Amino acid sequence: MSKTDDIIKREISRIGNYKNLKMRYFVGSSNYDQELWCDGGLTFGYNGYIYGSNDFAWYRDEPWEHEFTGKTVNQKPIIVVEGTHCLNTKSYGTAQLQRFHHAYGAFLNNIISVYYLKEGKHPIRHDLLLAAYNASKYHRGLGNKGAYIVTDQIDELDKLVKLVGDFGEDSTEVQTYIEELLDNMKLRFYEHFERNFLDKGKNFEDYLFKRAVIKTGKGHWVKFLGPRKDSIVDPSIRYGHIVLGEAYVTKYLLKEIEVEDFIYFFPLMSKKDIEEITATLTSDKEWLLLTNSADWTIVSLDEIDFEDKTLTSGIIPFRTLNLNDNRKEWNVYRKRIAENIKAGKYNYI
Amino acid sequence: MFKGEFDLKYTTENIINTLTKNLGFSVVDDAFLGTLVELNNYDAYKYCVITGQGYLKEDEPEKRFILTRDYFRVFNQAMEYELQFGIFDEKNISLFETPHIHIEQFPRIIEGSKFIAFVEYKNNKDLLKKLDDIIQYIKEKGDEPGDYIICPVRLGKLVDFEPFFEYVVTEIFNRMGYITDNQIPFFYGVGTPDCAVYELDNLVSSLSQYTGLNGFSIFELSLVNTPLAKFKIKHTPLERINNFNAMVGEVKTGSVDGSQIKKYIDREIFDEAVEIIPHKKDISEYAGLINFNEDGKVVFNMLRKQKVDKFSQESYINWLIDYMKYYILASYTDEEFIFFKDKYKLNSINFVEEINRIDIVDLASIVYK
Repeated sequence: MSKTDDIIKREISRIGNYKNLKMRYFVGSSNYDQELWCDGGLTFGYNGYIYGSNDFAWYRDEPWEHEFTGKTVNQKPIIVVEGTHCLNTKSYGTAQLQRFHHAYGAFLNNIISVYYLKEGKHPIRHDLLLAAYNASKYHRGLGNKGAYIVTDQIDELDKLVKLVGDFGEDSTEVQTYIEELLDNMKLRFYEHFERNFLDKGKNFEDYLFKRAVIKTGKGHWVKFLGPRKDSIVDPSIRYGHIVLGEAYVTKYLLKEIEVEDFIYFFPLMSKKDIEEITATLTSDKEWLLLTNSADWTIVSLDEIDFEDKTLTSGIIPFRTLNLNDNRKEWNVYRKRIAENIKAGKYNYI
Repeated sequence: MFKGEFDLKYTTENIINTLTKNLGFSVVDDAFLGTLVELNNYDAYKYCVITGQGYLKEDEPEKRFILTRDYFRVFNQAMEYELQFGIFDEKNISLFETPHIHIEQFPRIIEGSKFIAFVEYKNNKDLLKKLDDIIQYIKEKGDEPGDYIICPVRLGKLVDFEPFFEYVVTEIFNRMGYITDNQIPFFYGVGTPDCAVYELDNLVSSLSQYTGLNGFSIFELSLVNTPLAKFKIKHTPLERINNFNAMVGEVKTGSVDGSQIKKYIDREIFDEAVEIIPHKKDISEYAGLINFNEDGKVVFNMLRKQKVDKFSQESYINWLIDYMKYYILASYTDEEFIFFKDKYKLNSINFVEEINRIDIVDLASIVYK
């Protein structure tokens, strides 16, 4: 068993209680953070589904109804934080995405939510910054009173807590600061986008292609690389968390060009695989969120009829082959999948 | 492979027996709190860090001042030297989590006597309510809540006790004269072994003139210069049960398939590997077994020699010795550490390189003088 990120909670806890804001967090081997907020934990549900647990929160002693359960408690969550130090470890890549849905669940409940990735050797992913920015803008535009902030600066979190404690979360001071943080997130994305795409004559669709997201010849938007069955069912890999994070990030990247939904293509899974996983992971939060979203449709290999029949038969062995050992061969098929989808050379079955 | 029922019941009585029968701690009875296990302040701090159980403290969110092994992080991976946020704030090479800092934040660590109180509970709300009642009782008695370490006993949640058994087993190995570590940095993608035990008798002997330690958990190197050190007592040495250079241990309180410990064994660094499964009866084919009998006494079952690559083991031990140096530095106060950095012209660029260059005994002679 390993315990990680206690040290990040410790760092955050040094901000302390402030004015009428009190801290809630758990260190050590307890799993209390996985309880719902109204049961004393750091987890939130929304629209029938439970999202990932968080690491930290500030709350005020006043009534709050968790719509998910209909329960009212006397601690109102004001700022919720999911923290990680992955930017200074080897798990700095797609692992950044695996926690997206944690603070996101709190955000959907109109709470100021912060995904804090402690500053390290590696930067915050640019797609994560834009996705959280777009999520904030989209939902705040619909009346959400929270925000989804992504930051690597503990000072920004500290300032946010102090402003909320001094002026209240609905105050002009806090809302102005939130907008400043959001603008900063977008700026950081655009600095990367400008340098690596615009300056090279490329556009946002080219950026999305790098994220395995393309517009097909039939007008669909498709994220064309999904997981294998074994990576979902193996709990030590936690790949389901990453796939879910990829789905949410894709959803909100597409908001940049006003696309409302997309297809998540799982070429390395059959429909039967998906059914078997569903029958096994009956209470797995991440799988439930992934397979019940209104914002994307999961499509397996046997639900797509490629015009090039050799493509389908060629993909199947990669369901069980070691992809690292067969990277060169798999890359050929990835390219063919992308080309055929982009050209619209497929039909739904 | 594992067969059989779970015979060992994780009752409060079992937990107390495990501490008293194996580690010789004494008990006192309290009319309200029940049986308490008494520790000196040094052992109490060590117990808290490894188990993640905390000192009672009313104004903390969990009503406890909790320390965990994760706070004392140095490197994330074995054989690598990327300084991590933990003991040091790696950005500016300052001390962030040390025993000195903990004592400043919670002076009760070095005051009074310490007692482990066992609190049975159903869920977190229930636990917090009980802790409120306990705090009130202690205050009315005229005692200090901070003198009580809370061992939460949630029956049916066996996994809560894994750090507890990590502590008991590694403490036993310390008393045999071994160096141990918990939640050890290992290799990327392989996992985090629960504990490791090292026979480095020459090193222990060379360091003992400065540390006074015969067998220790690596993080104890950070206690030597602190006010906690004066509370350390020499426990009765225990007889060793086997010869090995390095052993890895995986603690489980539930079912086991061995896949995790096999990954550690496959690195061919450890010549012994044990599963620490209190209730298990049958030894597996791939690792030895440490379990506990019905009286709570530890039982060392047949250990199984593992295949070792001598070069890999030696390289790993050399890295381990470098790793230990940072715990020696963690026994400095902030001011002493700043002085040390200035004296040796250390900064965020050359810090690790220069510390690795120093011989560990020489470093101990500088820091512990």
